[in-house]
Amino acid sequence: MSGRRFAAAGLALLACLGAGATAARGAAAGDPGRRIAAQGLAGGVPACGSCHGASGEGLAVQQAPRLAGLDARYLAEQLDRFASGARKNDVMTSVAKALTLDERRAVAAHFARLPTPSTTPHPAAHSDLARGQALAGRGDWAVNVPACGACHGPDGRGVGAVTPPLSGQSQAYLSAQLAAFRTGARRSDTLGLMNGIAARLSPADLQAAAAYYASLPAGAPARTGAGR
Amino acid sequence: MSGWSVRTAAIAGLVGVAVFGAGLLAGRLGQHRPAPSTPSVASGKKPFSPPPDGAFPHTPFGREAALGREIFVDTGRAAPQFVGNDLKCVNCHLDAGRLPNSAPMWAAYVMFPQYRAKNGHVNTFAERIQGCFRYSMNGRAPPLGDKVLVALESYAAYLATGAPHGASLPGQGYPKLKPAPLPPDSGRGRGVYTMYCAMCHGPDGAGQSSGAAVVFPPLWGPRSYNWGAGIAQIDTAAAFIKANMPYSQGGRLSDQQAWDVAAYIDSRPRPQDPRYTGSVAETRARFHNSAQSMYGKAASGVLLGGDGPPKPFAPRAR
Repeated sequence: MSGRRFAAAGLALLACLGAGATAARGAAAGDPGRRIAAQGLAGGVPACGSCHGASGEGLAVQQAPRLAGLDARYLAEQLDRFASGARKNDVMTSVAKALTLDERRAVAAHFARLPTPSTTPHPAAHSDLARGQALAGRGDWAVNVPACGACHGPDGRGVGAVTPPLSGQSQAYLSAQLAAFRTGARRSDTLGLMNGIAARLSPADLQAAAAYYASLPAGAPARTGAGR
Repeated sequence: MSGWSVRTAAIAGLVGVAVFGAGLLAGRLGQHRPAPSTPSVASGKKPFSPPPDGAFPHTPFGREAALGREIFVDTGRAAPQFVGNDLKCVNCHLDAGRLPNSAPMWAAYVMFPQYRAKNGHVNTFAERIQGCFRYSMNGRAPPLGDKVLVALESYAAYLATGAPHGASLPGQGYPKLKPAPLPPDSGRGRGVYTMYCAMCHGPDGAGQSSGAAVVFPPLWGPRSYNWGAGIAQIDTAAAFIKANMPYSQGGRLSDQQAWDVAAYIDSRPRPQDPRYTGSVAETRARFHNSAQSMYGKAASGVLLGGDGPPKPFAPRAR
């Protein structure tokens, strides 16, 4: 083996290591999603973490949902809807409007990458957990309402970009969203599936369903077994 | 599963019909009427009510019926030895087999034993369920007397508690649709599918999962029902869809849309008919000699059913 070839191999190795280190630094310091989440942007974008928690775990008193571990496509779509006015929230509308499309994608991808926090289940307030569990597992077909789990998964952990996780979200957030679906203030999807469902249930039923899911631990969908 | 493209596709579909769609959504948002779950009220007949869900008696029969419910709502997990795809009984018999116009078990149970043209003899209820496993579940028929059949039959009998035997109860089966104004067209049906179905069932019909749990059932492809299933017939699929889909919005599609989307779904590839004789033409002539079956016809350049003998039974990997 010639000295030149050995030296070339060594240089190549160094180059690889250097490139890797640079890439890692870029991801840490240069990822705009992470930067916006932690620091916000000048001109009307507060740090996401100031309401959603430093780890994206959510903050019930602000009705700010957990974002960590949610599907990136779902998160991006919600930001797009805030930006377009299709979903309304005083804070989030101005935040989403101040972000570019790329920034919205980056923030969504950042929170989707964060680990799902192991939350302490929220105790239920003034609600009928048994009724909530019945709605979650069986629905109420007398008013044409399927089981929540039939679309949100057997553990309420969501299905990809289609249905978000419910388990481990706060009762305050879930209640507020169900109320918004009921009045039409938030449109769930192109078919209005949740709008119809929420409109056919009583406010007490909506509270019960919210309380039930708030009492379940958050978690990524089970990778093994039937997810039950 | 590219859920993002699902949404994108759904949105793209909407753009083409923006005016129609906007009117539809504005008109129906939040006030969509419940599905015709009690149509018999209109006809003056009191619908049959099964016992409350899950209120099984604490008896050996009640325990068997409870097991039957468990199999009914999570078939691949509770009876994996007989299930060859990602479907469950409850996918086509909503509300755990209780919902009127969704082929409820209480209405079916009282109609057996029954002569069936499909196999040319009088079938017991147990034999009828064997057919579900063989065709709709693309699996293996549990032997007569098997615990799975006993449990499912017990569950159906429990739901039929108090129902008159032999009576054709209101809400039975799927309400037959009148012929569509225009002949069912899978091309139009594809548009309906994109707008109303793809969001959940996926643009490729493969369904979607929450982790390992299949939540939205596959409608075609290797993990769906095979060519021998009842719902592989366009008229049966159209009737089910009209009464029950989109989920929680039964009755929303027009008859024409239901016919068209059924024609689309039932002209996609799916597992071979287990009665395959070795020849697609002969299998069609013997078992699919009807305008309601696309088996043996070409769709998008593919000969439906033309992919050889049935694949060996493969329970879902878990």
